[in-house]
Amino acid sequence: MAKNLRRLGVTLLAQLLRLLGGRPARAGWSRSTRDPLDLTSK
Amino acid sequence: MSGPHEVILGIGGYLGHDANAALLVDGRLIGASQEERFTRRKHDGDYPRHAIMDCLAQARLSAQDVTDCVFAEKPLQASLFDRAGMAGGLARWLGRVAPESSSGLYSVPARQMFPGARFHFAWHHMSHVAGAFHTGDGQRAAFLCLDGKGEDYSASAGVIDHGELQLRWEQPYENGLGLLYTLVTYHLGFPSFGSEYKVMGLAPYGRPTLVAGLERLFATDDRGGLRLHAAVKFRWPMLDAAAALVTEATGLPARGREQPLTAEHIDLAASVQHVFEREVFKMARFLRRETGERRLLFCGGCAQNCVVAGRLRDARIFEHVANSPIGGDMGSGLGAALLLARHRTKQGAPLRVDPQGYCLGPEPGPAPAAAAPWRVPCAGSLHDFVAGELAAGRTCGWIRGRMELGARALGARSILADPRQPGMQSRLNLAVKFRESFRPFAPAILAEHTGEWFDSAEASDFMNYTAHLRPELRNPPPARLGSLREQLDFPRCALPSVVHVDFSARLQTVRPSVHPDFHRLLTAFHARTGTPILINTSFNVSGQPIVRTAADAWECFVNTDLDLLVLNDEIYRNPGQRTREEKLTWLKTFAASA
Repeated sequence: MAKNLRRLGVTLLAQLLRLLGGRPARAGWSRSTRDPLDLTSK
Repeated sequence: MSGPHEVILGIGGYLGHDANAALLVDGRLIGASQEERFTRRKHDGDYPRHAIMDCLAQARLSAQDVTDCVFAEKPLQASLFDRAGMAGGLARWLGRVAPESSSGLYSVPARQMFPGARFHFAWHHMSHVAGAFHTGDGQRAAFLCLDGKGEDYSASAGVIDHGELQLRWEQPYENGLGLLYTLVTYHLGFPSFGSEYKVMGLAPYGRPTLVAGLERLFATDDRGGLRLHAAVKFRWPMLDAAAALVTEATGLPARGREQPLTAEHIDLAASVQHVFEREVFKMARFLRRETGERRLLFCGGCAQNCVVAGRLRDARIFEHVANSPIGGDMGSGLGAALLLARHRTKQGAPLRVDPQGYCLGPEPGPAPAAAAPWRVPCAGSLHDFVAGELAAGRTCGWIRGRMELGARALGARSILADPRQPGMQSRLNLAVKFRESFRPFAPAILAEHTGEWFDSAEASDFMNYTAHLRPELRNPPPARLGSLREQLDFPRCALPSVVHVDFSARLQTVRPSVHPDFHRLLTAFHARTGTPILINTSFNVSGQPIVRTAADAWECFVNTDLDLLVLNDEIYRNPGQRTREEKLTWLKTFAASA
């Protein structure tokens, strides 16, 4: 039971993150805002 | 005496494929190795413990001496994308603020191994770019990193110089051009990881008649911004199902790996190579226009497609094209280490390391005791003796010095043969390498003679470009050569085993400054035969990693029909004691990876 609840929680969290962080469905090159020498973020 | 003060260990391919490690000590490249060469599991993606230990042993250092450990990937962001479909700004923010433990067990083995080191995580594509730039000529260039995936990107582009690294554009998501090629590779019955090169080798036999069908799978634009309609992920169990999309789009049933290749399958290979080249050319034109740079650095996993690299070079969209010698992830640890070293270098100061011909792995060690009775006496020059044996039609394993990094044997762990011998392609493919008969071999040619044989005299030190046989050396084919067998059997030139049916060849131009020992052998062969070319293929059988040690080489040698083995400074003949059945049983050990 606890295992199933935990699994449900993980799934819901994944869906929420997808909604928050998902990208619009577009193809092709876009301008990058990443720092190419960023070596600290994981 | 004080020790080194900056020891950077780069780790790449970990928890993916082709795990590898590289070591820089005070800015000097000490070594780099792939884990598969030690564990004998092809494309091994486990923590590269053996490769790391080998690098440290070469430097005569211990784990306590490592000051910095840098991974060629950002594991948390890759994981957020893989598991939660999350990408872009939020994933990046989480990558900055989340504790490292949130990336799971990723860095645990390294943290246990190097408790005193600082840890860093490089963008995967930037590792590829840094690896190609800082081991190359170091001249300012636009870069195009085209990959299966890196975190959640399939391509990155910008400009690199010693003083600046501008990442200007990216193609988000992994379902781009690289994945399209992989799907077709699966569909064509080559499901083992990294088999795209087989499709590239098959393509010249066919015609691109299925391009329109493939175009149903994706949207693209005039800048090469290709994206698959289906949300396919680069995960192996899922690719089987995704390959069915190719069936839907082209109407061509998928081929089982044991089924014969039909003309339609071969045309599909030609079609995907056509689409690949078309899109890469669009990307190159876009970058030339937008950056104004005259040089292009082409890298990432897709840059292993040396056919497109050769065509890019010929097309002169850029005045100069440099294709990464180690395009795949095998060199990503080295790239990550160089990226960190660059970061530490005084702004604008050049950082260039000598890749030592990419022979950065361990020595083979002594020959096994079992080899002793089969030693061949050689009173004079070893190189002259072996050249004579090759000219007489003998095939030879050649194991000398430090082993190569990357997928290609460059004259340290090679199988060599005379390309003038009739039937040598079939003989090597079927009785030595145990691989598909359609695959041609690479010619290793004395660099100073390249222009006499091929239409480009430019360097291809690491088999990273194709060139074409000069027109006057070709035998024009009859109007109709239909089947694969007919095309293979047609004597298209004096050296058919190293020249493809479209007269292309994947060259290794051998220079004394890059591969001195191999140059010496080629010189001896040229002096004896007047031909400055040898067949050079990796010393392994289908599905097996390239041999590393003398013992690996001996085991492979006695289980194949190779005639001779050169181990360090000694020559051995094949005992010929294994039966066909014993050889096939041994071969099955590697069948899953073939």
